[in-house]
Amino acid sequence: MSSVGTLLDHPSHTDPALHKQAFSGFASHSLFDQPQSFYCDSPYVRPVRPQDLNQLDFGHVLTQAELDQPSHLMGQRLLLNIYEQDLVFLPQQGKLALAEFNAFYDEDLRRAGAAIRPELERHVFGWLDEAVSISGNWDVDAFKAYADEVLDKIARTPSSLVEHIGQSRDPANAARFFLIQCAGDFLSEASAMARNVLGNFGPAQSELFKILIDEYGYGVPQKKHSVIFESLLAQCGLNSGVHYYWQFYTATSLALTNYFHYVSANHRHFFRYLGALFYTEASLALVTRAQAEAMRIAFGDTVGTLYFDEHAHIDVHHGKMAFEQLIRPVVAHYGKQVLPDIIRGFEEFRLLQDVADAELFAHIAWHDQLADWQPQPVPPQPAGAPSHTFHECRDDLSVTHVHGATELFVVDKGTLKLVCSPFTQLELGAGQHVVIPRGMLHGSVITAEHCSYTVTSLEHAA
Amino acid sequence: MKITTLPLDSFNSLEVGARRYFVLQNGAKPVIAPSECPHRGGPLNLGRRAACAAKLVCPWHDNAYPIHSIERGALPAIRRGDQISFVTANEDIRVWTEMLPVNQRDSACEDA
Ligand code: FES
Ligand SMILES: [Fe+2]
Repeated sequence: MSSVGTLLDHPSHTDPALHKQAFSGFASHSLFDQPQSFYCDSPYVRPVRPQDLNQLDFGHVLTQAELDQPSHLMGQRLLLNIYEQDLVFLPQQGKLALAEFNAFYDEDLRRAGAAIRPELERHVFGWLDEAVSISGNWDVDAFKAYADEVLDKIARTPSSLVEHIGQSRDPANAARFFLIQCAGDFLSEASAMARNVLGNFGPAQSELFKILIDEYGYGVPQKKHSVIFESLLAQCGLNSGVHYYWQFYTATSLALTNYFHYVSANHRHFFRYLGALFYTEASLALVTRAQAEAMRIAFGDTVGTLYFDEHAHIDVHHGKMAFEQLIRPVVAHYGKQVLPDIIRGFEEFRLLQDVADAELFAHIAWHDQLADWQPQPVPPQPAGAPSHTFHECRDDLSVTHVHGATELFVVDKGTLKLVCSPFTQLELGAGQHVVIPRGMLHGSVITAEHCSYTVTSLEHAA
Repeated sequence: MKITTLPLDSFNSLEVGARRYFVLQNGAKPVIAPSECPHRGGPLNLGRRAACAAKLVCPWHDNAYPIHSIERGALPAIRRGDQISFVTANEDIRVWTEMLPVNQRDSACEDA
């Protein structure tokens, strides 16, 4: 293997000190370090909590059961920052901070990102190799039959999104939290697709280009899917700035966006990309109907559902185009050898979507529970459980994060605000506590001159 | 065409119409391979591994088939976690479990 290959595929072979330096050089960049607020006013400000870096190990492959671990969230945040250095972002609302713009696209920062990217991809996506395997004598019609069965099942199954938003004690905020999960992707919709339209791959290239043109609104800004989504956000009372809600993306929502960059940034995965594209276009044609319904349940008629209606319409075409004009001709031309990767992409993205839905619903359920929060006596703590006490000052902000174990969070002195979503926030005073389940996104900000709080693991009692 | 989805641990043998198949473990990948030996129809499902598990040896006349060439005749299948889906023609399908030494872990590289 060439030295470049060795470097990229076996990060452990590189000088560990240099490698560590690349990690902290990227993650500790001022744009990704401590912010002033839970909301990101600039498209270049994307906090990742570099202070957690030395407790996390990216050198192993996460299992599916470990996706609720802190290194998954940080890995996905880092990856999106790396991938999006390839995209152009300019603020649509505020002024352009030229120093931030220059810093985000800085050559050294890009180099550091490129050095850590393969290890991060392996860490957060390696589990898919274990989770899915393709075998046997596939042909394009067998795949079509399989895909039809999968899509048919989606069409026949009542939408769990509609169910969870409808049953939430606050459907409007549950729906807003859902829209925030979409925003990371939809506000720069189909950017990963654009990575795949250059080069020369014959008629299929032109088909992909047509899908891209639809996504980008035929050169008319108001028709651009991302612009339609911006106006939906505004109607729902949300900020439509790119990554304004960066800190409230779940790790598995980030994974959906990152997967498309992952299989598009390195064209070795092009056939996986085609399968994933087909799944997403064909399934969106079905689920956007339910998403429009969820919007109506949450907001009544005050909110237009053009974004979802547009997709319910155009994605029927895109699903068909992705299969009949892209996959079928590509397999006819290049042979059955490319089918396993196409099927793999289809199945992997389907799995990622299911996992992201489950994490979203778990967060909505937790936010509902917190809405019932009442001061209670602090429960007895397991003997020998590891616990840490923190002392902080007014306005100290802890960027949102997750814990690898369920934790008891007790305020010892002063007051703070626990922030679990833009709509779920608890004011906690001395003696008050809350249990933070493993993998649930939260941050905090101190609201007294001084505050101390103690966090005790409820899972790893000695 | 027909799609069947089953828990992986619920069967290791099946019959689709008149043809028999068995689940052959190829590393982490389950392959639904034809049980009939292409030579004289011997029971490939009762074969043994050779060449570091890369080949399957038919018990009748000891022909050794590379697993990847056996896979070319296998049913199109997707494993997703502990479920497997496979595509067949619209034929009757019967599944069962029997003793198949072929997937037992042993020091397969010694007989290379
Ligand atoms: S029948 Fe299998 S080797 Fe002859
Ligand atoms: Fe915390």
